[in-house]
Amino acid sequence: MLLWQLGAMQYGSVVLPTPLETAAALVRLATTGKLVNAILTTSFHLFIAFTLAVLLGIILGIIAGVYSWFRQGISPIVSALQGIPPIAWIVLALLWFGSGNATPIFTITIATIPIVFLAAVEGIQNFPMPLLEMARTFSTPKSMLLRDLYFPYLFSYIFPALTAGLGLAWRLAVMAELLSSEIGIGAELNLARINLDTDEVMAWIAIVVISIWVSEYLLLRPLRHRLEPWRNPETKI
Amino acid sequence: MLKLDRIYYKYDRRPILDGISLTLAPGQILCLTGPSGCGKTTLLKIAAGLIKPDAGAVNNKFTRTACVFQEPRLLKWQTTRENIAFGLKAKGILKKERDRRSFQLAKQLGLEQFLHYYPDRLSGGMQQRVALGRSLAIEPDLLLLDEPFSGLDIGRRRSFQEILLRLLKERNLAACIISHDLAEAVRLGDRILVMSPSPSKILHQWQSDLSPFARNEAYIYREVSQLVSIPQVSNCFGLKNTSSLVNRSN
Repeated sequence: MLLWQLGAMQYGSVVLPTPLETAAALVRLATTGKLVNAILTTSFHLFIAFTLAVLLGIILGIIAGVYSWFRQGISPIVSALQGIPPIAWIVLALLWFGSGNATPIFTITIATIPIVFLAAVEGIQNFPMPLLEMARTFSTPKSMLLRDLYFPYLFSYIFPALTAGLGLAWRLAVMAELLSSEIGIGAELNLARINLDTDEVMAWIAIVVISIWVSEYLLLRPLRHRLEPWRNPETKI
Repeated sequence: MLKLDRIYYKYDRRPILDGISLTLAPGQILCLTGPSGCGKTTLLKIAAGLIKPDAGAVNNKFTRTACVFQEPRLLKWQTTRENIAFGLKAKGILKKERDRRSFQLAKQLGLEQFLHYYPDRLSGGMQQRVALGRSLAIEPDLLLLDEPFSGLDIGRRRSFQEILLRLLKERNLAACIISHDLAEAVRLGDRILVMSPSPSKILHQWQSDLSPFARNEAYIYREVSQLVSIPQVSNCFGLKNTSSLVNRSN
């Protein structure tokens, strides 16, 4: 904060606005309703894309974890997906879908699927067989195996991937919106850039940072805490 | 009655079990012992029906068989209570009844304070007691235990052995315990079978007329010394100079 203030004093507010000016811009955006709209739009993009990526990643990951022929077939595709820079997807999506909601959603989905997919494959492949053997001695039914063994185990692999994936998804959402869309935080950031409104640019960046914090600390962590109480060293019910 | 009749088993074309027969009567504790890698665990898994022998017959007349493994094999995302109740849940028993039974067992195993703990917070000895509770919960009449004490230090080992013996005899359970420790086998077993290195056969049989509760340290010591002085037994454990070993330990 201090460095930021000093930098702003040194270079002037067109290059780097002071924290106070940024806060003022934030308040201005909030009062015009632009802020809420942009956050809602971007969250909508993220939510749809992330849900799609998680579902597809987990389903494909489970199939690939169980069937080696599928894994061998799909692995080169996943490596390719990982290797393609996200910006290439944005360009491609722009050509395919134009400048609507579909472009950011497509880009985020396609770029985060590999992260979830690889975590799911690893989870399935590392599943401890001794636990399965133990369950077999009790003639455990299939449904219980899924609920009490496979799913909780897989979850412990997928969750860290979700955290990493969400960070990437946020960055991609802003980038895709900036380049392709007329709505959302990225689009507003682009508008502020065109208008040379550095206060607003800083304000939007601050919003992205705060949003990432919120989604990590108020969403993912409490969710994990709830779904995996055994990770909390102090847990007593 | 559990009856294994001339069991043969190969792994990777290498014979592991070479015609092993044994019987285990209701309420009896049988200890299987032998050098590491002689196929004790394989034999136990065959008895449990987890693997099929290449030849020979497994005849298990006990109504319910439960296993305790070398490692506790607990689900770390479940509490002590849920882990003990695992087998009950697999049988479709309702939660209320599961909770009641797991509470009772936890009490007998000295775990009632820890019902809501996850395995990561329990010591190795407590985890192994949870695993024992899990197998006793389904009220088996045959318990198969694969080196259940191997991860425990001597104090915990002794207390776990005492708990196990008490529960086995109280419930009149038959048990087959694998151990590579002769003293442990003499302490617990009504009968001991010594297996040779693989391809393994039964080399020697030992039987005790004393109840395990009546055996004192001197008895255990004497019996182990006698067992080791049998050439077949000492050879199979790779003990070359048994006479000096026994003399020194006396």
